[in-house]
Amino acid sequence: MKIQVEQLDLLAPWHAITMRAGYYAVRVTVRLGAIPIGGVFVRPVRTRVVRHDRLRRRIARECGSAIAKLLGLAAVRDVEEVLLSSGVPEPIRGAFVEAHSQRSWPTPGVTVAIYTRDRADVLEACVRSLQQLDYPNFDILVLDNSHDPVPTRERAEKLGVEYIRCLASGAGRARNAAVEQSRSEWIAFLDDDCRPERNWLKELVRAAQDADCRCVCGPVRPAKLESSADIAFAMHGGFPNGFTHRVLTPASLDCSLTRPAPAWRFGSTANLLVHRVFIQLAGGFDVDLANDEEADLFYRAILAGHTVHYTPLAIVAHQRAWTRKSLRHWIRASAGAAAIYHVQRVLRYWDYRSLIELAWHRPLALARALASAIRGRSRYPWSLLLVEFRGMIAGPVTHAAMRLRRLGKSNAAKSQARRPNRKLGATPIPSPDPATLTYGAPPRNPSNRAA
Amino acid sequence: MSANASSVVRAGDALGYGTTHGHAARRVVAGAGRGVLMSVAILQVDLAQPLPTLQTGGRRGGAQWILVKLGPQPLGWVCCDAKQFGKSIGPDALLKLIYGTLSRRIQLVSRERGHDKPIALTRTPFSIVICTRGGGAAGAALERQLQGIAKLRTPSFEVIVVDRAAAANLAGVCETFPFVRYAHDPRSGVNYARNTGWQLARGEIVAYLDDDAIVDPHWLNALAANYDDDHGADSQVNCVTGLFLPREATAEPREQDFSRRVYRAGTWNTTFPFDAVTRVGAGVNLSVRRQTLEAMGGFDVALSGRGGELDLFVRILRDGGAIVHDPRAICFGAIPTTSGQLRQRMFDDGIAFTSCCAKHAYDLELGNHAIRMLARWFRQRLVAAVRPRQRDFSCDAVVAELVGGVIGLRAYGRAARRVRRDQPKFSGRDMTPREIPLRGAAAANRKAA
Repeated sequence: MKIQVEQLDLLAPWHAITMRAGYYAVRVTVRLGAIPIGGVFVRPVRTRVVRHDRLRRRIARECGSAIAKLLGLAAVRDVEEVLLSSGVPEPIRGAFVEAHSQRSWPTPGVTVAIYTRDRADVLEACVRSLQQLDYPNFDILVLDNSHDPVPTRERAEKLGVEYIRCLASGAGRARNAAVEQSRSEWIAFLDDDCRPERNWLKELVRAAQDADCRCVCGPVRPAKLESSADIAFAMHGGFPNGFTHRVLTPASLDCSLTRPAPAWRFGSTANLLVHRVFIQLAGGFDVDLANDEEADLFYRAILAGHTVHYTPLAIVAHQRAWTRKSLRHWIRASAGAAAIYHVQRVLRYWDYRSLIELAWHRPLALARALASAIRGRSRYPWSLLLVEFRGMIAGPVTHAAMRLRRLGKSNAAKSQARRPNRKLGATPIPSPDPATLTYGAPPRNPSNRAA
Repeated sequence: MSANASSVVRAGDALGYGTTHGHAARRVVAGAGRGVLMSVAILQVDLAQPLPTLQTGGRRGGAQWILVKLGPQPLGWVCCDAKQFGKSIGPDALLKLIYGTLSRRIQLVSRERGHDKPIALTRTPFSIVICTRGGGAAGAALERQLQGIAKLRTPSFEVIVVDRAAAANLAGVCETFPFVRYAHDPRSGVNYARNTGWQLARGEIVAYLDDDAIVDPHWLNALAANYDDDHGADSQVNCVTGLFLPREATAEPREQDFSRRVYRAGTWNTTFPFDAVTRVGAGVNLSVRRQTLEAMGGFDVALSGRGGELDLFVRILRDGGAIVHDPRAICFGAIPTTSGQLRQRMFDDGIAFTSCCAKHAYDLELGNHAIRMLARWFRQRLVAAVRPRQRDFSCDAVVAELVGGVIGLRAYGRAARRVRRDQPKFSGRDMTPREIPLRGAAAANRKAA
């Protein structure tokens, strides 16, 4: 099954959408200029054409309130009237463009670190798209974790970008190497199969204008839904894909008595901007977390009194074509990493809410999703839910076994060096510049912290 | 439409087999033997031909089921009760009976299609694959079948007989027909033979027939009409199935609307496409594009015969293809006539169905459907086993199907492992499908031609 992915700018003229042969439905991302509003899913069975009237009704019904708010309309019912095939009518359009085009903000230096592994062609396309950015002050750094470094290194030299070869496997280690290498104020992390939009870096930096902000992340949208695995991944919600601006603050730690801070799945390293000095002091990414290393970083940021932003305007398109095997592997690893993350919150920070999440909320959510999948209320595959459940169980166990093995092999000095910094959660990377920054020691228990 | 322009034949009589097959002689009355099901021959009446006088027969005065057709298009069933009409029924009474039962259907078909529109002769090259296991009576059955195929009103086709037993008598039968090619595949499982068939096929469309099926003269043209673009049919059709009718009825024929149906990806409800066999058709009367079979890797050899065709339907629909069921493509075949045969058939069907569902249970797109279909299937069978009103068959047959279903849940995994294990064994030998050259007079004629 394939789903056609389309983008629709309501400010520009738009007409009917024709579904191509072999596709099951059309997924339309609705935008007002650079601002994404929401998504509409339509399925023209007989005519294979989504007419303007139908699309207008669907957009008004599903995204009406957001459009009315942005266009300054008095009522949601007026939205359908302004969604013309020639675009939004001129007085409203002009006012909207004027309101959203006059803002400017500082553009500090940014190092864009692209993690790649044995995909030189994909990397080149990523670098080419980065060269189209409208951001004035950035440099590109390729983090190569390939088995054979020659093709990637040659391609990086040809493209004129910096190159680091990471011998140790693991994306976390490679990204930590980028933190050591970079001298810019901010570091943006990107995967090689991601294609950022032209305003990507500008919008990330715009969200970082908050003085307390240390991390900014954005949506990672699927560029195509060409297989069942792609669709299942989109339904799984693997990467953040929301249309609203969200902020994680220190208050998020105590927002609920039974729920942990929602740092988990808040963002992704495929689209992330981090303050360099902060991540150096924090010790970089935790290399033991395979997929959720950014969640750990976010948690430590808000624990240190900073904020983390999610901006829906900094969009990257994810070009990866999933297969059934790769998707199952990813979901298992991701569920395991999330479980390890929660176990670490319990053991390191005595956050009992992570224990509740791990032992009660997450299994309950999986059981409910399984029931609705089997009853036909959800189209998400039940087999992936089982994979997720197995990963959630196996993740902490394998992690503990790995730690024990590592402890047995290493000597006391090495184990001392690897022990995480309790103040910021991991071993500090050398050469920090803490003169201008002060980090208070985090309390052992968030409830004590409130007191 | 003229009432005088009608005719009657037995099922398969159009080919001249009805009398020689001896349905009346083989009719077994209830209680004649332990475990033997009552079977009644099925007659067919074509309203486009003169109506004859029917011998409703039957010493016990039982019901006679008549399939009413309008040209190649079947319209419905009519039950002719000997108690009401006596030993014979004349054309007028027959016409009255047919119109009393099927008047609305006749009007509908006349208005929609027009009975005077013939099915055009197809130029599409067809390969008809017949998979057989040999055996004692297989030679005579194959000869009858090939004689029927020889009367098909289609200019270009070939027949590939894939013999799994390498029986000498079958090769001899094949030699007498110039359009027949003979191949041997020793591997156990009908899906191996089916794959051998399409790998040897030269035609664009591969049509599969059971070794005991007898085809209607319009069969191949009706199948081809759904593939040909100039007939107004859909160009994306990957598979066309026809109507299978029993030569003898052991129970009241099910109500069927005999209308052409098209199934596409995404048209399924909560259980479709896993109930495709009951909706779309079966492998006894099935045609597929050879290109589609090549792209999909053919039939899954880890499944049994009926499971293989269900799996093929499911994969075609999942991958965006379309399946057409055309009731004008009719073939007749045998059905179980003893309760033992029925039990065995139900047991095999249970294994085939649940093993196919188990295969697709981990599919990202159809996994939820497969699980739901399995739950529904088991629930229905359990209810049917304890409630007589809920079942069409005897309790022992339903229980046999249930047992087969339970076994089938793990059968696919075991069979797939066995296939993987046997792969090196087969790969050591040259298992390329190979045609065995025939040396008879027919082959000489073919060479000369």
